[in-house]
Amino acid sequence: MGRYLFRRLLQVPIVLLILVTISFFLMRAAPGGPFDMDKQVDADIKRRMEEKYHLDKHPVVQYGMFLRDLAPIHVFDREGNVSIRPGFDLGPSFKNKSLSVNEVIWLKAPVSALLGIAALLISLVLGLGAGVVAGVRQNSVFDYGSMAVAMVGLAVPTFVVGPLLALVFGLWWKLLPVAGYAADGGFFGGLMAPQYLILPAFALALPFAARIARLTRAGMLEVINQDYIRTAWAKGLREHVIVVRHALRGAMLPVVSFLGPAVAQILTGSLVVEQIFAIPGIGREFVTSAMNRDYTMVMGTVILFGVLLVAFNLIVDVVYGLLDPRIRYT
Amino acid sequence: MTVTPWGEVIPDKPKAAPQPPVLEVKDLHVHFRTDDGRVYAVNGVSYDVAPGESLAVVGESGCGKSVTAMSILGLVKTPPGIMAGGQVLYRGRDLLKLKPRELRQIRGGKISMIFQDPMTSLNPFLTIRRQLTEAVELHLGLQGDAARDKAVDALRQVGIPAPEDRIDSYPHEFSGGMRQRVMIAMSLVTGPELLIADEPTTALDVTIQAQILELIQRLQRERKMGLVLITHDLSVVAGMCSRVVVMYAGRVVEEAAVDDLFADPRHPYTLSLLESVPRLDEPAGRKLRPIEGLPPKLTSLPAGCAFAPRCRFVRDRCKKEAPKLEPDAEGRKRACFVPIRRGRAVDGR
Repeated sequence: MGRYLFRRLLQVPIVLLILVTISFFLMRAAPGGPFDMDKQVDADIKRRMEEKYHLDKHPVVQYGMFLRDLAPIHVFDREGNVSIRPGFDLGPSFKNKSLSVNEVIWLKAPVSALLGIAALLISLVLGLGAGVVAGVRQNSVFDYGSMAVAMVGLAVPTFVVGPLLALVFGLWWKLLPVAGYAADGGFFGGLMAPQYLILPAFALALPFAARIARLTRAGMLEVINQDYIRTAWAKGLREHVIVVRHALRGAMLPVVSFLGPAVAQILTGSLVVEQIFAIPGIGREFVTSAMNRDYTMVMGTVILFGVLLVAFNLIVDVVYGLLDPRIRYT
Repeated sequence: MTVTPWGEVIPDKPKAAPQPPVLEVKDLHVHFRTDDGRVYAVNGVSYDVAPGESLAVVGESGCGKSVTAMSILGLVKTPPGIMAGGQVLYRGRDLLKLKPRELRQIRGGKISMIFQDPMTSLNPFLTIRRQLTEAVELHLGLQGDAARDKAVDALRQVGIPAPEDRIDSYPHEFSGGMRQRVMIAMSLVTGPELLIADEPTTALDVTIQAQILELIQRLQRERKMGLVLITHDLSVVAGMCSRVVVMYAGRVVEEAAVDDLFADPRHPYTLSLLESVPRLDEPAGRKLRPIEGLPPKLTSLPAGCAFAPRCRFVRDRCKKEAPKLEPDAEGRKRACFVPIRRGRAVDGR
C-alpha cells in the first residue's frame, strides 16, 4: 500500500506537466489574444502591451518562462542572483490587471469550495438515502417516485432549477435571500452566513444527487441479489443490519468511483450557479478566462482543476482498497 | 448408541415409537410470477424430518427441491415468488405464518442452512470473524471475546487449521473446500436442531466433496441434529442418509428408506434415475440408460402425471389423472398408478 501510494504520487507531477503543456499550446493555438478588443486598439499600444507580458516572444520561449515561474521554489531572481522565494507563480492576470492569478484563486476558490462542500454533503445525503431505499424496496412507490425525481434532476438544467428555487424560496416565501454572498466574503465569512449558501448549494447538488441516487440504487440491486445476502437472511439478521453491514459496501463501489471526478468538479464551482446567485466564486473564471484568452488565468484554473482531479482519483483508489479487501495494491 | 474403535458414533436404529418430527412440510405450493407466465415450481410437496434423522431430497435441476428448502426458512422472495399454499411446521408451529421477528429467531438459530457455492455464499467484504460472531451475538447472546472464542471453537470443529489466526482472514483467502467448512461452522455455531444443506458439495472438487460430506455427517451424528440434504447426486445419498425423498417437476414421486430405494425403486422416475448412473456392484459392460426426453415446462404442467411423457410404463390413465403419493401393497410410498417390482411392471406389460 505504501509503495503503491508512493509510485502514484510520483506520477502526479508528470500528469500535471502533460496537462499544463497541452493546455498551454492549445490556448496559444486558439485564434485571437488577450488584447484583441471589439474596438480598434492602437497598434503601437497593443504591441507594447504584448511586449510587457512577453507575448511577442515565440510560444516555446513563453512556455519555458511559464514553467520557470511555476517551479515550486525559485532559486534565482530575474538578474540571475541567488534569492530563494516560494514558487508556484502563475503570473499576472491579463484581464484583472490589479491581481495576480494566484491572488484571484486564493480569493475566489475558497468560496466555491465552501459552496461545493455544502452541495456535496446535500447530494450525498439525498443521493445515498434515496438510492439505498429505492434499491432495497425495488418497484415500490418510493422507488418509482425517487427515481422520477432523479430523472428530473438530471434532465432539468441548473439555469432552470436555480431561478426557480430563488423565485419560490426567495421571492414568494421570502425564507432565504434570492442571491448574494456574506458581506465578509471568503470561506469563513460564508460559513458565518450560511443562509446565502442554501439555495445555490441545492441547485448545484441536484444533478449530483440524482447521479448518486441512480448509481446507489443500481449497486444496491446488484448486491442484494448476491448469494451472500441470502446467507445473511438465513442467519436471521434484521433487514437493516443486512443492508448496512452486508450490502452497503459493495453497493458503494460504483458511487465511489463516480465521486472522484465529481468532487473535483463540485468543489471548483459552477459558472451557472455562481452567476445566478451572484456568488463570488471561481467557477465563472473557468469560462470567462477562456473566452477572454486570459492565458495565465486559463492555466491557473486548469492546474487547479487538474490537481483536484488527480488528488481525488488517488483518494478514490485508496478508498476502494479500504472498502474491498480483495483489492491488492502492488 | 455405539462407538466404533476409531471413534465414530453410530446412533441406534429408530425406536418403535418415533419421535414427533422436528420439521414437517405439508402440501407446499410455491409459484413464481415471470414474464413467460406463472412458473409452478413446487406443487404439493410433503416430507418430514425426525430429530437426529438425515433425509435426502433428490431430483434433477429445476425439480423444486431447492425452492422447497428456501421456503422452509422463508427465503423465497415474494414477489416474484408466491407462497400458494401448504404449511411448514417446525415443532408444530407454521413458519409460513410467523411474524418476521419470530421467524428470525428460528432462522440460523433453530434451523440453519448451507448453500451450494461457498465462493459466493460468504460475504467478500467482511472477515470470517464478523460473519461468525454476528450469528453468535444474535442467537447465543455472547459478546466480544466470548463470541470470538465460540467462533474459533466452531472453526476448529470443522477442521480449519490455526483457527485463532485464520478467523481474521477474509473469504477470498480460503480455498473452496475451506470456505465450505467456514459455511458449515457458521451455520452450526448456534447449535441448530436442523441443518438444511442445499447441494453443499456441488461446487467443490471431487476430492474435497468426500471430506465435506464426512464432516457434515460426523457433526450431524455428534449433535443428534436433523439433516435435510438436497442433492442431485445419488452416490452422496447412499452413504449419508437414512431416508430419501425423490422429487420430479415440483412433486414428491417416491419416498423410501435408503436401502429400499436403491434395492428396489417403485417409481419409474427413480428407476430410470438409478439406471442412468453406473454402480460398482454390477457386472462391467452394462450400458448406462439416459432418461429420454426433457422435464416438463413448469409454466404448463401436463394434466396427468408429469413424468408420463418420458415414462416407459405409461398407461392411458397416467395422461388424464395425476397420481398421489400413496403407499403400495407393501407400504412403500410412491406416486404412480403402475405397480413396479424389481424394474418390471407387476402386470407384465
